Amino acid sequence: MLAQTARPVPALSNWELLVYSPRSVIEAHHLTKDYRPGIHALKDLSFEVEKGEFVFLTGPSGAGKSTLLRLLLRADVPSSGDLVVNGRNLARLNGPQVQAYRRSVGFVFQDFKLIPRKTVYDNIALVPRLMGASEHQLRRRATQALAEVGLAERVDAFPLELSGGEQQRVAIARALVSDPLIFLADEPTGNLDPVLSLEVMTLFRSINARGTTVLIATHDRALIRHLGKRVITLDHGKMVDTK
Amino acid sequence: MMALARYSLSEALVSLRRSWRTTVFALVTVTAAVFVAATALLVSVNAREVFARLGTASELTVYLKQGASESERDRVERVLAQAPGVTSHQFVSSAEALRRFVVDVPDLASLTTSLGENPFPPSFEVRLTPGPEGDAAARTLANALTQTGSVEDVRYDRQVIDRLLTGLTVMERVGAVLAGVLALAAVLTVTSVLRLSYQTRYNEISIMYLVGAPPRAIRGPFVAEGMIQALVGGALAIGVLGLAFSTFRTHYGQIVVDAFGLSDVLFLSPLWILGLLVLSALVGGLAGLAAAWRER
Repeated sequence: MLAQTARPVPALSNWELLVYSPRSVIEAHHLTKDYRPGIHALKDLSFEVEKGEFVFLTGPSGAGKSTLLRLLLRADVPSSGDLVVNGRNLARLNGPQVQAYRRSVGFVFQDFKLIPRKTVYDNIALVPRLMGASEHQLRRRATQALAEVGLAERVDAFPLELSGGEQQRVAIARALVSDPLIFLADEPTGNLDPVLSLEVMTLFRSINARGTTVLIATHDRALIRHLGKRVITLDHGKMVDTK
Repeated sequence: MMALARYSLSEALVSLRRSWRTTVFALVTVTAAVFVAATALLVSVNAREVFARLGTASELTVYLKQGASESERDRVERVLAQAPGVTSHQFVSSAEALRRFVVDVPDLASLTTSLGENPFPPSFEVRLTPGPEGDAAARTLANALTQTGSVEDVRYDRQVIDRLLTGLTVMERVGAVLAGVLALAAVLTVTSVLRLSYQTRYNEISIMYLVGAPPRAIRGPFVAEGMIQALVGGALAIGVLGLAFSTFRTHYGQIVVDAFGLSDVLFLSPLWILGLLVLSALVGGLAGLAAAWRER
């Protein structure tokens, strides 16, 4: 485990203490997000994700998948309702707490979000290094994370020298390096061909097998069927199915 | 903390290299601002040294009325003898004053003979105790001498020095305002250059925020970049001023020393230089912080 700056967990309100179940790692309670008055990106959404669960979030374009993931990344706050992750109400976090929370969550973006002028190693090591991890620890963890995604030999490559699939795997290695409790991914296979998509999904399954909670937003029904995990289906900002 | 400092410094150096044209622009502005401030400071330091020297040699010259009697002269002398703050006094007769004039200004000596009578009044040259106590005593003494009725005029060189000091203070304030305006321009230039750099790296910074980089790690490189720009600009300004000062001292130093009785023309002390550099770096750092400020 890499050295991380421990941030105190914000105190929970009485209501949060009542509803917070130690089994659940993500809890959404009557979650609503309006970008404009009367236009709901999410409407009265309630669900729970338990520790170690593998959940797909699906639905057509505009269903609210990306909005929900933006809320889970704390890139936005709900208009009403509560989103509690690992006992922390995300809306109540201040600036430094938001950054500490993001470090505790592994997030994989559809467009990878790698820094082009930094090598694969520097992309992976960036945040742990800033948090004071020793170079020895970093090298060991980064090599391990890259080996897990099958890219150990590309440690000194720059992102633009890699294929889309490789870049996505580097992004996964970056998320893995801080040993997150929760792993979130927004359309991680959106830019990949079916074979690479399956490879990436296999990676997510192995991450989940270690006990990490995984939540993946995708509209790829074939992949969902292939993995056979729990699916939360959204449509027009509402949950229409969960099975 | 060390990891953050190392990261900030290395990122700042990369950014400075990458945008060297705008960096040069910012450097020139900072150099100009610090140069003006340091020049004003240098002039002020030397002018104050000159006034300090003049101040220690304060004198009163008491001119008696033309044709003042022996008893009137004695009355004035008694006042001088009893006055506090007077270290010595010397009577200068009309004839002695004329003799001095002929010796000091031989070109105009013929004028005095053409006048027919000696135009110089008898006087007392009075030396005063240096320092603020002497100043106060001199003012009191000048009043007391005027009240004797035998004194035509009291010339008090301290008044001249005071007026010059007032002028210097005004000049210092004008210099400070000018340096302040230039410093503001330099701060705005550095901030704009760094903000430009921030916008150029916007995607990268957004990624850093999303992956949980602490805000200080995102602002740190900009603070370091601002500090480096200001520090280098400040050092350049001091260097240029040093060269200019050295040239001035070589050509005109002795003239200034002789004219004002100084032991040497002074450059800024190491403490002043350090102060200017630290202030420049702090202001540059603040400019960097302002450029990178963003609430998420």
